[in-house]
Amino acid sequence: MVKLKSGSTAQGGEDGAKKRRKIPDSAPLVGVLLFMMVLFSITSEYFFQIDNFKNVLANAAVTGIVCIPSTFLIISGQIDLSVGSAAAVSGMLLAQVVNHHGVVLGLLSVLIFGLILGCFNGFIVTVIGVNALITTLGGLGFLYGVALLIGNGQTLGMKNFDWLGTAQPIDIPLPILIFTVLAIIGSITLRFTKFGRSIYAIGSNPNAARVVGIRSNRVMFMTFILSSVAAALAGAVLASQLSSGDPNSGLGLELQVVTAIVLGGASLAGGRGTILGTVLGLLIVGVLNNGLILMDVPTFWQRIAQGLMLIVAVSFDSIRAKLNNTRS
Amino acid sequence: MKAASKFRAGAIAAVAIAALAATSVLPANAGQFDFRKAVPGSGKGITIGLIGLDDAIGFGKDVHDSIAREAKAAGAKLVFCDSKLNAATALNCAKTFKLKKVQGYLNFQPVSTAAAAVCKAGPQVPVISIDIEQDPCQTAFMGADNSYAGQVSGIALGKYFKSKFDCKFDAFISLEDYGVGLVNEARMGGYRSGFESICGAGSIGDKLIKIDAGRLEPALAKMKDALTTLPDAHKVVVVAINDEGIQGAFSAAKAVGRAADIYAAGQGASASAWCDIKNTPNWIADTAYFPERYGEIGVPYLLDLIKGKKVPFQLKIKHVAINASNLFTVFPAAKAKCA
Repeated sequence: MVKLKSGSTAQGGEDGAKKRRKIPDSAPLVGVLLFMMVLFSITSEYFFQIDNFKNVLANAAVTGIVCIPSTFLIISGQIDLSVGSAAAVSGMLLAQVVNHHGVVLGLLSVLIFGLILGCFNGFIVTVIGVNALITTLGGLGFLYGVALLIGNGQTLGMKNFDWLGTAQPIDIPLPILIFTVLAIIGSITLRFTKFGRSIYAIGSNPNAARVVGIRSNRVMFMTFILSSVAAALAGAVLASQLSSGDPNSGLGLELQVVTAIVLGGASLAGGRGTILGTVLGLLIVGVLNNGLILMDVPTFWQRIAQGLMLIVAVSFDSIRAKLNNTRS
Repeated sequence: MKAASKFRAGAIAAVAIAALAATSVLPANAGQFDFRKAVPGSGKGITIGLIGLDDAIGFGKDVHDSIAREAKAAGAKLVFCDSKLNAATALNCAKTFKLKKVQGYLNFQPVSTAAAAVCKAGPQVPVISIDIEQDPCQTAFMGADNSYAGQVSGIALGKYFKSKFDCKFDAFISLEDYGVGLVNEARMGGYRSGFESICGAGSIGDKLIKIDAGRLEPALAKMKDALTTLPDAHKVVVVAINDEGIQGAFSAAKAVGRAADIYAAGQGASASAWCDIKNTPNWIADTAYFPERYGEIGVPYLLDLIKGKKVPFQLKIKHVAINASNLFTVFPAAKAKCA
């Protein structure tokens, strides 16, 4: 080993050049984020304020809570499109149970709902063998119906339970703290645990993963459970922020989640992605939305920008894949 | 009932009602107000906000445009934030208003049960809610009187069926939108109470078919199915939570060759429905909401509140029943559009 290093000058030089050329994957995202922050700071006097940053982060936190396990899923080559409707059901369920049986049972019911839904999705995908896209697309419609059913088409007010969404320990909104903790745990899990490495292996090559002894179905089953529990938690946080369960509250959440994750560098084909990238993708989307509102950009243009962001995110994914193929 | 009897008394008065749309030919419900143009310069130096319903919806866009027009006329600065039918977005809008130091705002966010959270997040300034209650911070409420608006067209339909068919009909299809909660109940319930006030209590009974299809596409799809289940029905009453539902219903009925079997009433009388109301023989009635004039109540009264003047709590729109014969009188712009 030592001999090889000292003996191969040319090789060593090439390695050094590669190291010098190697720019962190997250660098372009950080660049885009900084550029947007500078742009909005110049164009809106309200952007560069602590309160505004808190708003951006608090808004992003609900989506972010779902993004963490969804990143796991996408890296493993799966997807969960039912998260928005799951969050809606969770919010409605929470409001219903809190109003009649108190906060503890309300939170417990949300947790159980998340677990059951995760098991259901995991079972359909890993045991029955139905495609995850189809399974969770069906779940999206099915759960939206359940959310409407719980409130008979109405929203449900919720009393005495706004702390989960609005409390500010150490002057930071609680949803931001929850998201931060989840992001750290998620990042450690992906990078340093067997479970995390299994996710990458399954996403890169499911057959090879199976051959080397990774229990793919078990890992994916677990990941679906995490995704559904996170969606349920996000729904609870959102309902707490609004002091209300709203069957329409999670509509479109799944697209926001996919946008942030793919923009952050995860591949829809599986095998690649990081929590740091997802967080950066989330912040870019959050800052863009916030900046456009502060600049009084007409709402139709905001929608165009948000749609373009999704296209750009997926294009990034394709371009990266092509570049990687060219290099290899 | 008082409203119904007065309305009935004007049997041939539809045209007259339309001609005097903004006056009080229709029985005035409590709290109904005349439109009032903003006084030029009355808003100079004042920043007001609007949390919009959703600019992607014609009604919401009309309300937004009218408020922007009146704010400009008054010389006030308008900060607009679109809730996009989402309470969480509305919450963010309220926070933005706080940052931007608006001195009063109009709130058209769609989830009344989330109103307390939105109120808390926003600046503590005068608030006029639009169409949807915004407790606890609303200083005044303006907009549609949904139950009454449903009744207006329900009564018109009832009168039509009484005069043409002695109140005999085969089915009463209600194209609803469960997503809008209480508004749906009030408006659709209003249709039924209005219709039954003419054709008799309980006359709808088990002929009622409720379908969650308040918008164009679901109405188009589901009305075909509904008509398939009613093969021998030739007098089908159709009511919808908005005009799009009725447009979808007629398209569906035409597609299956049964346009003559349905008799419909809608809500809104929006510009996009004018020509259909005029040219569809069985579009019996439609309730006008005048979203394009909401700013003529919202802006002047909000400016009054900001200046410390007293404003009545209820600032409701005067709804008017529209049909093919009075359309051009109530909406002169429709003449050029549908000629």
